[in-house]
Amino acid sequence: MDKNLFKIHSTRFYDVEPKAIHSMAYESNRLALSRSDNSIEIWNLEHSPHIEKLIPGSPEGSIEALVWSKGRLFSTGLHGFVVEYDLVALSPKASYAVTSGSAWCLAVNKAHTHLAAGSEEGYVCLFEIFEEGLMYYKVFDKQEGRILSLSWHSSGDFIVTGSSNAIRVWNVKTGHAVNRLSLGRADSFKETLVWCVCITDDFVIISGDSRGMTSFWNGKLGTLIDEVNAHKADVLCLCLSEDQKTLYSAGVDPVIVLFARVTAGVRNQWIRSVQRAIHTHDVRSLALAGSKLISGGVDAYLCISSYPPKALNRYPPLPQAPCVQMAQGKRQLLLRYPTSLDVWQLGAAAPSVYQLSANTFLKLSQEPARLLQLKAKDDEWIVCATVSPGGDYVAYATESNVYIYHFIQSAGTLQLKKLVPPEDVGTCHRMMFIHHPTEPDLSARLLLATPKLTLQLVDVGSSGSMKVVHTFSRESGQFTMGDCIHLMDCSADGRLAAVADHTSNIVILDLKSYKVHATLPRYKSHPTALAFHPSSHLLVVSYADHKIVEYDVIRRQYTPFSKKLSEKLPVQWLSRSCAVRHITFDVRHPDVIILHDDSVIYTIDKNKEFSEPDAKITKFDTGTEDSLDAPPAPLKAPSAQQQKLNSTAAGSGPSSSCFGMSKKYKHLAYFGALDVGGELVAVEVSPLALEKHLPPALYKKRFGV
Amino acid sequence: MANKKARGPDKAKPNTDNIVVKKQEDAPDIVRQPPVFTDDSKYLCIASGRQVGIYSVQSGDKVHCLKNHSFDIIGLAIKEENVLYSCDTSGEVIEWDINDGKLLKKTSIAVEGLKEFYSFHYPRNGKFLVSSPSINEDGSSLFMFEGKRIKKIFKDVGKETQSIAFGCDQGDGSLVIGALNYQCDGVMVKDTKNVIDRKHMTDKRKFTCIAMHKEKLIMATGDISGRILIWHDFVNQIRPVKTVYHWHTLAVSSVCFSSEAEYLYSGGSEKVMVKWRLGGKRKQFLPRMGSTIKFIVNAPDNICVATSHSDNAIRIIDSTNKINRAIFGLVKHDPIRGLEDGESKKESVMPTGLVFDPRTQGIFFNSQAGFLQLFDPLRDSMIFNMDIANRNVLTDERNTVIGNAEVFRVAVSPTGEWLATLEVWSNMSVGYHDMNLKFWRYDAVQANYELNTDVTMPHHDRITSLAFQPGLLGTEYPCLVSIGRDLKFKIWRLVDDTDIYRQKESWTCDVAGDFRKMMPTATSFSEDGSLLAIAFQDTVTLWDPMTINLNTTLSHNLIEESIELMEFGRDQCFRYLVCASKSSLFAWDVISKGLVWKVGKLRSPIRCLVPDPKSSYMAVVLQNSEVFVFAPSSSKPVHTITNVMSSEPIAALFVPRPNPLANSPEWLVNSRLLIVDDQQEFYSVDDNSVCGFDEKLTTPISHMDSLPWTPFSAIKAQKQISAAKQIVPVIHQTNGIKGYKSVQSLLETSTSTLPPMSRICNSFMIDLMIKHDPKSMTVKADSENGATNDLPTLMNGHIESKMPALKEEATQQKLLTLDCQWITKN
Repeated sequence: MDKNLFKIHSTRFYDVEPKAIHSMAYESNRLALSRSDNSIEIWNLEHSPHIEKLIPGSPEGSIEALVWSKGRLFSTGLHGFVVEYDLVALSPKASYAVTSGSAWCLAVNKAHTHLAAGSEEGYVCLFEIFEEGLMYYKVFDKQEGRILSLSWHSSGDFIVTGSSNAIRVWNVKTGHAVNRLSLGRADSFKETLVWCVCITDDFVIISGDSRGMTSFWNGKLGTLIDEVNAHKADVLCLCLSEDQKTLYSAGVDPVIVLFARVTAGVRNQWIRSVQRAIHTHDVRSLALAGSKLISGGVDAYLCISSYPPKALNRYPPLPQAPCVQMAQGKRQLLLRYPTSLDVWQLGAAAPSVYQLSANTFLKLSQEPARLLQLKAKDDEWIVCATVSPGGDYVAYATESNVYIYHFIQSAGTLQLKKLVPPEDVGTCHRMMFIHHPTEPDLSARLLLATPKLTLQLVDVGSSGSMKVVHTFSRESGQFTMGDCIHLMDCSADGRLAAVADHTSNIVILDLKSYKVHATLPRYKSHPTALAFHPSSHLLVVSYADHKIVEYDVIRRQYTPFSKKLSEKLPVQWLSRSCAVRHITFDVRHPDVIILHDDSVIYTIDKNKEFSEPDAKITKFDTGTEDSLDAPPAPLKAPSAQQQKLNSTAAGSGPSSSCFGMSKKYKHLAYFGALDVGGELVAVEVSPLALEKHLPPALYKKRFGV
Repeated sequence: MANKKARGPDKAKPNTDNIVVKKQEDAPDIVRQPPVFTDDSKYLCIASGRQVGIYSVQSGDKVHCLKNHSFDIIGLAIKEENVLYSCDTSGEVIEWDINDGKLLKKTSIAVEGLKEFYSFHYPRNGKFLVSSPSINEDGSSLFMFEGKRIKKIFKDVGKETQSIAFGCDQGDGSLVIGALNYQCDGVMVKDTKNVIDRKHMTDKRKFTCIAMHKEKLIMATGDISGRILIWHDFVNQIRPVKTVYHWHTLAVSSVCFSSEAEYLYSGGSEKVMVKWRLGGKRKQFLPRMGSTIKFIVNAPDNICVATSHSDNAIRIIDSTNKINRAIFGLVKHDPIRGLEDGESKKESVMPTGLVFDPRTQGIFFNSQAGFLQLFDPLRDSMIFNMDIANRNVLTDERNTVIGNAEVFRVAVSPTGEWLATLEVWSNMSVGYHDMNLKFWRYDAVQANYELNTDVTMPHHDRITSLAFQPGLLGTEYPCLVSIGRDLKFKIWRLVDDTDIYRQKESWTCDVAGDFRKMMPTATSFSEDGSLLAIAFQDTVTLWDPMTINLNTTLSHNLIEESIELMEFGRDQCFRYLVCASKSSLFAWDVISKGLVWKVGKLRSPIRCLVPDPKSSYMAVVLQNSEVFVFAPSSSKPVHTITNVMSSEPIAALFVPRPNPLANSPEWLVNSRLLIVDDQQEFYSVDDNSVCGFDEKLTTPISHMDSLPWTPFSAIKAQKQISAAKQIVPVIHQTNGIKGYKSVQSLLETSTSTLPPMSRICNSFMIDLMIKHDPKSMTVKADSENGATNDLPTLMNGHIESKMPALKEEATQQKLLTLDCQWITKN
């Protein structure tokens, strides 16, 4: 086979279920986002937006509102507690009961001294924020009906609440309602629910309700200034900009409408301005990060848009990497779902009679098959999972425990044997089997990143009980991490491991001498992917601002190529809005780095010349429009989900430029190389497959349909 | 005919110098400029050509006609209460008093270097805004005249009136002027008081219109994608707040604010006026307005809106969103788009051409798509507009021409009783083709045409010509010939179609024939209807219309081109058949069967060949607007006119005049020549001495109109018009019978009480008799004679036929009186 031809396994069996975004909170480049499975994702929006942390959800938990307060994250929900989270351990830290139970909304005042929660029973419950936690402060007069939304005036003396049929203004000092604004009804028998409310400094109350009206009130007099029917259905969320000149509203009718304050003479007027149709389903939450509008809803996409100039980035609900891991030896894939694991056997191509050419589909002799589905006990959230390179061990961690299995596959029989982890292993955030090709007795060692910011090395394969071989911690040998560890990789010989945390610490550990081998210089941006080169001691790290470095582990310095590369990164690459998810190498092309983000695969060929930074990156997708949805006509695609496709990839393009890219896939969860060389695996989640899981959107009459 | 011969042409040498070409001014384009409401919203001022019509908003009647401009008017504006400004292309500004239609003042704004103007605006503070052509061909420059000072405001402004707007006087005397760039990619805004200049751009969509509110700082623009943007605070902000209102799919042609900026009106080619509530999402529609909306103007009192439509109508819409009144000009036909290649401009602009209606002395031609109008050239007014196709009007899609059913051919029977129309609805790109030949009969009682027969697909391909058989035979047994591109000619005849339900007649195809598989291209009947000529490409065939026997075939070596137009000569020249091909004109003598003459290599293709129904002359109009008048017997033209118009002629027709013209060339004695150009403007070739109908406006402005508006004046109606029909008492014949009373009394009294017969007989008989007064008899007879003398003035068929009947009645009465005299004597 030609060296430049690759067999690509384009798999679509990773069935990610999109979870609706329920609430969002933004503070200084961190976006907290809760989904319908009650998990909280913390996105880093500093450079290219990516999921930084994930706080697992539970079926009995409920998150109705999220709020940041000086780097602390609070949530409340129908369980009736205000919960504060530990952002290092990624678990609830403390919870405080709300008077009368279920709460719908949560807001913090501008001075960050008090937190107010509105409850189902009609109470506004105030907490005082201290360093150590929250303290119950007071509760306002009970009102009829639930409190659905709540907003603080910037002075901190007033709170506006929205409930059914009414908006109330409360004096915080006295705890009494100052004003009651009543709303009209669309139907006389149907209550008008005020889903969202906010108040400006000059006491203009803005409310969005179930009639689809966005209303502007004079909060001092309690009169309606203007009422705009900008939406066809319920208005679910409002978002007021920092300068209080623009307002966004969105709801079930999935358009986001911009209102702008226009000063006409002495009078301020709110004018409906442009609208954005960027969601397919209900928009549940809006947040503003400077001029960028962050929106999310039932379609589970996180959208970051801005105008003018018109810009939109949509982030699909793909699980945080690593969600797919490959067992190289057995050509198997481990897929992580929130509460279960799948192991799939990759398909195999029938030997072709004809000369292979690019962009052709191959016939499968063996269809891909699911070998194993492992459900977590009591539907616990799987924080991380891994498979050994040989495919004979599978391990996963829930919020409380680590589970390790011996997966015995021999001649058609599959057997799963549960192993008992050692006592001192609690839970972990990341885990990885260390591969020792040369020393078979060390072939199954498991590296765990614990919530205590330590690393545990567990020997799994040794007969008898497992034990923790070594613990890397601050106490034992200068292993200091600032935040939770999210990236791990080990070298091909299994001697070295690299770990990275959210504070940009990247440490290389020697797993033989149990010492810190090297520490990379700290960079301003977050590392989002790192990988060891399979045949040399080079570590490639990609950061959130799209900087790529290559580090020579032996010499403990950046390679000359790395220095050159950082100067010549193409503008097109730097302007990508997605962070790199994974880095991989092909053994046949040792000088080519293959990276991928949510949709694009990039290659960097070290042997080729750098082109000018503003030059366009060469695309591989030449010839046929080879989206998998439209296979070339004469070649019938195999019916199975997995297809093998011959394609010219990996730097074999005609150009001499060192950067190359392919936009073949829509949402790419994983793209890795098999170590036999010449074979690549792409795990794609198609947008249509995501949409299949979604409920129907609001019906809209369209002309001619 | 007899009249004509008796009157004959004058022996005096015809004065050919007096022949002039005049543009018909009285049925002009009333929608070229937006209309203007007066301050009290009672009158609508409409510019049409060189004159201004003042129309009452309530009745839709014309109140005044202001004529003094010698060039086309480019803009109207209300100066103050009851004073109107009008400005023409030469820059002459006239002030008019609206109440009495008097000219108040005449000034000219033209200065050195500024001689031609495109549009005129008056923002009511002593300043004029005028756009004038700039060095750049496509655009214009906008100037502001303030007394003697001239200030250039913008350059590269679009030529159209809709690309300039002004307003936003927020009580401080400031004036904001906005204009669209001629490439329509940006809005230029200038605050004249605070001297702020801005240019706002959006995306690639080109703007089509702009409007500003009079007082509020708010601006609206429409673009080619149908989107309307409302701009707020666009003077101070670099990036003003915009609101999008998007319903139209086609380009927005006009936007207009209501007085309080509560509503916005918009319209375009969808033929729908949209009334937007600003701020909200609600909008109201007024659909099926008939034609593309060109302008929308709001009345100052907000009670009504006037819309100008491309079919030359202005519709007044009241506050309940209903069309209240319509002011019609001559309906203009929207040129048909999407015609197959090779079809001439005539087929697109006016496919029917001009067809003379002998019954009303009017002219039939196209109006809106699928409609036909009858125009009275004498009074320059439309008699009626008739829906031929009777289908829903379809509007185009954004990138597709849908098209509508169009009337392509019209023929009128010699008496005017029958009307044959051909309508075609065809769009081959979409794949539909529909053709109907309809026969309409004029119902004198209903005063309306009634559809008699509807033939679907009369030919397999497009019909190229229709002709009724003239003459006595054609009157008796109506007969129509049609030729089509399917190589066939068909003879249609009226046959008895009576069934058990009713007695009726209908048209049916009698004969379908072809000739050597050649394409029939033209057809004509001889004047008496005894001979039918059909041209098959270069060959002329003569047929007997009754039997459809081929009489003769006429062809000649010299004639190679396909004959496109063919007409028999009239009167003394009845034997000549004049044929026109693309570049040559020739005549056959149908009796000697020889080619009489041929004129070849004309400068320009022949557009029309029209015979004068009242003389033997014919006229030929070339595409370069040259006109030759000739007698078919000779190839020498009697009269030649070059450069009749600057535009391209489409159709022509000789229109008979009511009174023969003395002292004029022979061919102008009984008729004049009307020519229509591709802008559908009428030009008449006529003697200079003829003055047009001087229209006296009979509706004086009532005193009420100038009353100030008070609740009481609102109660008092302007005019007491009763909608109820005045019942004319039915006068039965019985009341008129002489002696009816005495008969009645005789019958009512019982026989027992009656006096003896001999006593009542005398008085009874006297009652029954008409008093004989010989003196009055003679006077009556004289007056009748006088009436017959005046007959030519009343050429109308009705009156002519009634006159003899009246005479008969009188003689009968005379007989009766004579007969009864012997009784009284006894």
